[in-house]
Amino acid sequence: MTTKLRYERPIIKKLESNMPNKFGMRTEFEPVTHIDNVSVNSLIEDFGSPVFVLSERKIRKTFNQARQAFETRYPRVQFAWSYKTNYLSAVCNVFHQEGSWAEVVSGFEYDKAIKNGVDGSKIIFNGPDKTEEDLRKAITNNSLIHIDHLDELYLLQDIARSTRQRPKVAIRVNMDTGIYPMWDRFGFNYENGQAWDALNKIMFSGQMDLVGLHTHIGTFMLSPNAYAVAASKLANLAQRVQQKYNHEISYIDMGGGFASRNTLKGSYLPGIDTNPHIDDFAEAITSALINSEYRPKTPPLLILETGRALIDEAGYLLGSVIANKRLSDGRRSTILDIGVNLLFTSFWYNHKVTPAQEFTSYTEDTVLYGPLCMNIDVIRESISLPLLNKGDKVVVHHVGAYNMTQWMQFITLRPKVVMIDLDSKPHVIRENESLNSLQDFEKIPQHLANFEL
Amino acid sequence: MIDRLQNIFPFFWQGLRNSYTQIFFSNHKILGFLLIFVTLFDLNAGISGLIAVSVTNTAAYLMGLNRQQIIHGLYGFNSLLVGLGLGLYFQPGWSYLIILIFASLLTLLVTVSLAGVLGKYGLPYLSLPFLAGIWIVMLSTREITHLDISERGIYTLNEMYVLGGMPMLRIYDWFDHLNWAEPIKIYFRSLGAIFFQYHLFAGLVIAFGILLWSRLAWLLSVIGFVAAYLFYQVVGANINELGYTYIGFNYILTAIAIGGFFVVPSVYSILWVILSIPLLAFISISGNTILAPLQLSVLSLPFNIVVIMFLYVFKLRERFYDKPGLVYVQQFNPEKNLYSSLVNRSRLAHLEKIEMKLPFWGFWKVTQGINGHHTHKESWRHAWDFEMTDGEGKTYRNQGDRLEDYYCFGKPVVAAANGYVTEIVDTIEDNEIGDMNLNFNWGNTVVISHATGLFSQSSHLKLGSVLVKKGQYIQKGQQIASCGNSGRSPYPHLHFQFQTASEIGSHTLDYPFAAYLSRDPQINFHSSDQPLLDQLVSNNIIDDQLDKALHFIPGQEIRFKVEDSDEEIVWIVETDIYNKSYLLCTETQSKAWFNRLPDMFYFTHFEGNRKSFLYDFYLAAYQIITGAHKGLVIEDQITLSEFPVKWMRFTQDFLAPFVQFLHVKYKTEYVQAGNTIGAGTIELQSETSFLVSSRLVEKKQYGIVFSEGKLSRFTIIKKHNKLVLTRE
Repeated sequence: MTTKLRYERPIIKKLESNMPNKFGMRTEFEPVTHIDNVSVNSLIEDFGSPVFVLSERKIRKTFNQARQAFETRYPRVQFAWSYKTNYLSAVCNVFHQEGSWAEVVSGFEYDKAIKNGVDGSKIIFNGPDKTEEDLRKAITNNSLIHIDHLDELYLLQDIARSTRQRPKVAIRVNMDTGIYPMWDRFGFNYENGQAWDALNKIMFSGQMDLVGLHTHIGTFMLSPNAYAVAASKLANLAQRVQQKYNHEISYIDMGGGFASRNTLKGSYLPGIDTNPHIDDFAEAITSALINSEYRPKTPPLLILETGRALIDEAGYLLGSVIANKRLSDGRRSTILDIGVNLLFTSFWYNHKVTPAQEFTSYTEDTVLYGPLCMNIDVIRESISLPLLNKGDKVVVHHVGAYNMTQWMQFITLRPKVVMIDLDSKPHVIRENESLNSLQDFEKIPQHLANFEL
Repeated sequence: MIDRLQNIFPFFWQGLRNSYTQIFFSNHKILGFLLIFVTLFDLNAGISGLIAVSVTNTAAYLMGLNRQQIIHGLYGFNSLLVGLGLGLYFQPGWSYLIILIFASLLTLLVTVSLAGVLGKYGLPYLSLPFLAGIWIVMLSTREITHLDISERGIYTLNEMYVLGGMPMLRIYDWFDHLNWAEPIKIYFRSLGAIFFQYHLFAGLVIAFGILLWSRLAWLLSVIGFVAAYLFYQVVGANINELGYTYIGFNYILTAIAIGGFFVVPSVYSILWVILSIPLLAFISISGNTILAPLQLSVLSLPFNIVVIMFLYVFKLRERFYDKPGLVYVQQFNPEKNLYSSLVNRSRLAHLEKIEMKLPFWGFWKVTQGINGHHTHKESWRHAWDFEMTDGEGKTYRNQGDRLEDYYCFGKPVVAAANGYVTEIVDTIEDNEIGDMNLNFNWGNTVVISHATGLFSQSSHLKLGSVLVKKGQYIQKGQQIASCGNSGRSPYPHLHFQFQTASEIGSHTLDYPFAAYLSRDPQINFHSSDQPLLDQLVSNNIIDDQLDKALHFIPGQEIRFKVEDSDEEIVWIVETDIYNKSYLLCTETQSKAWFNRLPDMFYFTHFEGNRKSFLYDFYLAAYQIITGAHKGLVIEDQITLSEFPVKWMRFTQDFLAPFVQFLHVKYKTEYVQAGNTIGAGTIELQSETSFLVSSRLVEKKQYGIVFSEGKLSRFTIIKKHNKLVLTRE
């Protein structure tokens, strides 16, 4: 029996007869039909379109690679899961099962970590906005509080004095690591002496336990060397504290910001080929610490708060083609049911998008639009894809980081999130929203309850 | 002077009593009283014995000899035997008393001198001083006319009457007419003969005392005696010698010494006991023949010669150390010695070893172990190859055709322990994958000297990666180089070995790592062990809080409040003159002896009240490691001496050298871990199970919580309720 061949619309393509460039005729359309042995079609059938899919296997694998990269280069290493990157409880718990602590930046995230069962002493509390209530809670739970500004330091001092508790604190340090832009809005500056000043204030207050030093030099960093500079500057601060106060810092927190495999907009080459590997960051940081002059009795614990590099690759967004269209300038455009309200990161990345079914080798440059009735709803400005028909399925790759926390309910509702476990069994880890999810929060004043049209 | 005497008075009775029990290598209280009682059957001899011991112990004290030795009766027991022997032979009187006192002093001097001579060879002097003492005095007193030979042996019944009146006489008479088999009678008489009491009743009392002290010692005494009896029968030696000269005690004492006191009791030790019987017989018979013209008896000479020779030979062994093994920590009880050795063989294997760490950070896989398939053979068999693997067990990423693809390539290699760098090679090219450099087998190498005759060698290092200099002193855990692919190395890996000399590629040494973790995938802890092929191993990471909480400082007071009551418990950290530390319960004076290593805290033994909370803590914290890994389970064996059901333990004692059907198992689980940098809560759940074969008899459960850098709560979980001790 012969199967009916798929219909593909005809295309006219300019013959490019010049020298093949060194990247060959590469396209991105190699179909991805299965994720962890579960077919994309069945996932969409069972959970709707669009749908976020996370691979538990991939998360654990990436995490273990990262841990190995650091643990084999430095004697004491600890990861802390950056909640803001993806705080779905199932995701957090995979990391906690693997031994990650929690790194939170707001009272709500803090409560979520506690609710997930993380011991208070394993929560790192970052961020510029911690309320007095948040701080009291964190102090009682022995959490590690990373001070962002002097006002917070004074507030902590007041609380410590009135409650006779000793907060466990670190300061966040910002510094020039030779990269642009320099993140100087968080923490205390190294070069102008603010950081040293803050450390002295803490040590002189005698009311807090200075346990660590923290920095977070930027995001989606493409230069491992910047981390080496940062690590040596922190080690230098630790050494000065040891010299002046005979006090050993328990940990050095290098933050996160390691690049994932995504391609930043404006990049000439794909990120998967050019972005530094986690091993490169590990090598830079650990060598800098080992080679530093800081020689305490026990080496300080090295804490890493990397989020994106651990989860991005494990996330997929599956969707369907709504329609094809020819634009006024002749370009082909395809409308998907995936909008920027769900795929927030499409503002930063040229996401890899692949079809979920086999195609012939013919491709066409296409603009990928989302379903929103807004001009900004563009997923990819230009991508070479095979000839998609209405109803065809696509997979957007590397979407695990930030999308499931920064997504918006806007025009369309948020879809289901599914996690495929180690036995290739999908689990819904977040239900899709319904009209009620919105309406339940709304209140209508009596005089607006009724109208006649 | 009186002050000084009062000073030793508390120890006087102990020293006296132990001088009696020491003859059986015991320090059992009841046995001591029974023995004193038995010697008094012959009033004169008994009092002579008491005088001899008192004189000796007092003299030893005034001379300033070691007080512990006096308390343990090690100086007194030979004089006691001399006193008993003389007391039996001579009539009491002033001249006798003077002779007795000086005979005791002579024996003390001989004891101390012999201890010096034999001590150098690590051998005991046993009752040699007694032989010297009594023979010298016997031979010399023949010239002293003021001494009268005792006639009491002739009118035994009169003596008995004086001692205990008619009832005593009846008992004595009844025993004398017992219709027991001859060998049994001889056995008991032989036991009595050790204290110069040649009758059944004394033997029975002594046998009872021995049984109370140690079932195993009693069993050994029977084995020794039966073997001797059978030997005499088989070879047709004069059986009367056993019966009438009471030389049989030589077999009994030898059996206890070789079978269970100096040697860990086992089938092998019993085998040696049986083998020693004919030797004892030869020496007794020949000895008596030689001494007959001098009118002296061999007494305990055969026992002394045979035991000392055996122990000397055992010490010179180069192989089969545990067939049978020697007792190193003497607990004056054969079954305790056996049970401790069963437990401590692995528990205390680290003692007197330098603490070695794995030479890398993180988890690495053993890809060739000791006696490996490829190159770890013969004189180089005690070596390891380590590589790193990913979740799928692969050692490389991508195609694995470049050095950089291998996870271990370029990773830090660190020093296993402190030491001086003695050899460095750092100029050999790293091989292409699959290639080998057979000209420079070891490749780039660092050798470190840790102690005399103890070196560690790390090989196949990366070209130019060595960070240390020859002669430099380096610290444990300091990075020395990076893992590479030089020398006979087709794939990047780290070759590590302990060796006997500084030269690269010296013969390897069978040496353990002090502590490490393995992952399969749950975490296991290994102490003083060697990684096996395919194991994933890593150093233990010490938790700051546990490290601090388990650092008990001598003099420190640990106070607990018992919840829901006013009771307060105080433990004090103490150390003794041997630098051993213990927790002392102030209420019961119980002691729990512990040891602390960087990676481990453990109790070694317990003395005192088994109803005290300290005993519960001893069982609960029997072994704790200083790394807090949630889910980690540590299991260990506790000595069978702790088995709570007495009759079961007694039964086990008899069978101990052959089979152990009782078990005391310790298990602790880290149910909650802190944050490793000093905060959070660390919770352990411990249980001690007492089992008969595999059936549970009793289970004790405990909870230990560490927080704020100290042991903060100790919970004893009973069937229906909980006792909670909270730290104040």
